[in-house]
Amino acid sequence: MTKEIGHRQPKVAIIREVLNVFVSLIWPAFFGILRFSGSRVFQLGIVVILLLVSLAFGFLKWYFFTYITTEHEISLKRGIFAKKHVHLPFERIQTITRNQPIYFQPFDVFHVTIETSGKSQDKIEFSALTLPQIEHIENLRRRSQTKSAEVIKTLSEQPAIAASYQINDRDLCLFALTSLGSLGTVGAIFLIFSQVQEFLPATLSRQFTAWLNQQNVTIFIGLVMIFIIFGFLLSFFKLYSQYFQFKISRIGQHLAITRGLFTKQNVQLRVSRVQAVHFQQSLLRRLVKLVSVDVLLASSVNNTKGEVKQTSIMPVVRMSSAGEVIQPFLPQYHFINPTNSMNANRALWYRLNMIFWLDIFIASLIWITYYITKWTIHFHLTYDLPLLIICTILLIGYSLLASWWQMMDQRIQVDGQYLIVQLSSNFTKHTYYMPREKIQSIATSRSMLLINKHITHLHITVRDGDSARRLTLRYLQEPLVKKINSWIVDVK
Amino acid sequence: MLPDNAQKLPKSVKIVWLIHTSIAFVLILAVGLVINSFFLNHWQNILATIIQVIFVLVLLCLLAYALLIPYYYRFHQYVINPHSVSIYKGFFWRQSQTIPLNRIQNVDTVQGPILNIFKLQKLSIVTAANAFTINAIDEKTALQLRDQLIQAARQAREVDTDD
Repeated sequence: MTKEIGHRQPKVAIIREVLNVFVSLIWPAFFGILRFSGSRVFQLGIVVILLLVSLAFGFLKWYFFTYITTEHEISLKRGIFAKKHVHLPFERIQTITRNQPIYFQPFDVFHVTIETSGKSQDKIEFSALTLPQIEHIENLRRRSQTKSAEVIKTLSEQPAIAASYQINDRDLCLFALTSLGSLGTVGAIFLIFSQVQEFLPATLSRQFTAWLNQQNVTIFIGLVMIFIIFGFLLSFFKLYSQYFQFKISRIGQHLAITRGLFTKQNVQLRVSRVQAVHFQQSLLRRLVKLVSVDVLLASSVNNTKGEVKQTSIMPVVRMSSAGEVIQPFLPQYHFINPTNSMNANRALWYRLNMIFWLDIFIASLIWITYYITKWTIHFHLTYDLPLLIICTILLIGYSLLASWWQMMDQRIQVDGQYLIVQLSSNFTKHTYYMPREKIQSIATSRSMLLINKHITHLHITVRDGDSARRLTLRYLQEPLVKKINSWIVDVK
Repeated sequence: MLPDNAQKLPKSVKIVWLIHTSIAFVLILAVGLVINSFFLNHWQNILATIIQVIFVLVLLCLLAYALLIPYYYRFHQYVINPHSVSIYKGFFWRQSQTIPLNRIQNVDTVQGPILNIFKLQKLSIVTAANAFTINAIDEKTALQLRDQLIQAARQAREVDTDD
């Protein structure tokens, strides 16, 4: 019996492996060296040693990483000390994502991630593969996931692009401008800034603090404004470069999505692997009548590392034409606006009543905690009473308005083999289009007080990445919920 | 309303729940007494008072739970239909969970030391997204149910035309 020899990744993969090892080692060492500064020669020595260690480990990681493809599966071996063998049948693949960072572009290689429907980070990653190698894997995946009748058809003819869409610059700018990510970016900059300040050499840190203390209020306001504008511009540029030349195309039952300016990304997935189609409209996008569309997939990605679980299939599109634009890519779906609210009589009143008393409870806790702290440790805040009153009014006002909006937006409708659910959370409207067979479970809940009124809350669970997404509709009519329940469990 | 064909858990589960609650009660009481002895000379300390109040509230909740065990038992039921399995829970806050059989990925049984004494098992029904449990059923029924659910799920999958 001959032993099968695995393929190695192109040698350029060593660069990425070395970089990964170096980055993981250099940060703790970097802050350590600066914090407890020794001589320059000592610092340089440490950096050289780290570089050599990274080179050695990077090379060994590349050397011990081999893979083999057969007609039905891809298997790989990796690990320097602890060996790991992974066998992945093509049938189980959910998405194949290739990223091309700017430093990979001259070599024409891509970083590749293959996600399965399994859990707990059940995915495989290649540091670098050439385009023919990726296309070979994608072809095997496509052939394996295509039904026998389709195989005969596709073998006899070249697969044609059934639908294609490319975002234009105007829409891309609108998408970046209407994203509220800038606030997050400002926060992230502030966090990085405070961390860096902590690790700066003591003299530099002292000088900076002294300079800040000498400034007046106008300078402070100016600095904050510059900070916010910088954050907004950075966020705009980040989104613009991420979704630059966004293009989606459908070939048979497979979707291909490409995007990116510096890092080019390509995602391949089969339409039937989509768990739900999700239309999302933030308050800002509602005002300008725009919507963004993504799909929920059963993949092994979780967002512990900040990875985005959803796959965007349309960053931004006019609300009025969203259905028409998306339809060619997901022909089985009907993107209609749900009209049936199914809300029980006085549902709005029950919801607002519940939220009001919940707010009173939370506000009481805040007031009691504050006054206990004030009396026990003699802590005093200037204008504490007006501040507490304003906080309470803001809390009650915001939550009542958000709840009113939520109940007004709430819709649920069965459309053939699909369930359409519309919800809103913090003024952001979410509409989900779910095939019946992708709904994993259904649950109801209610307090004793609602039993005689025949009102119930409904919770629908669909797979989302590595975990679940639970959609909750409140204060629905019980007989209608029972109908939906039997529609979901009914086997075709 | 619970359906007519809903099945109750074995009666011995009430004793299991009572033992679990008693163990939790004794443990929390012991921790509370240790902390109390630490603060013995500091009763005027507000932190000590808050901790005392929290411990008393937790113990009262456990006591209330123990008293309500007959009601929880009355409302914790399950139904296995040809196309789905449903679990009903709760007395003040009523919940029902329904899992279509063709979404079941696997069925696991779990048996801790106390459940082992009473020859009971916990049945965990896992879908691609989440898991549901029937808290305690006797070993024989658990195995029967597991086989029944796996068989039904397999049949339901064969009917399912999705790739």
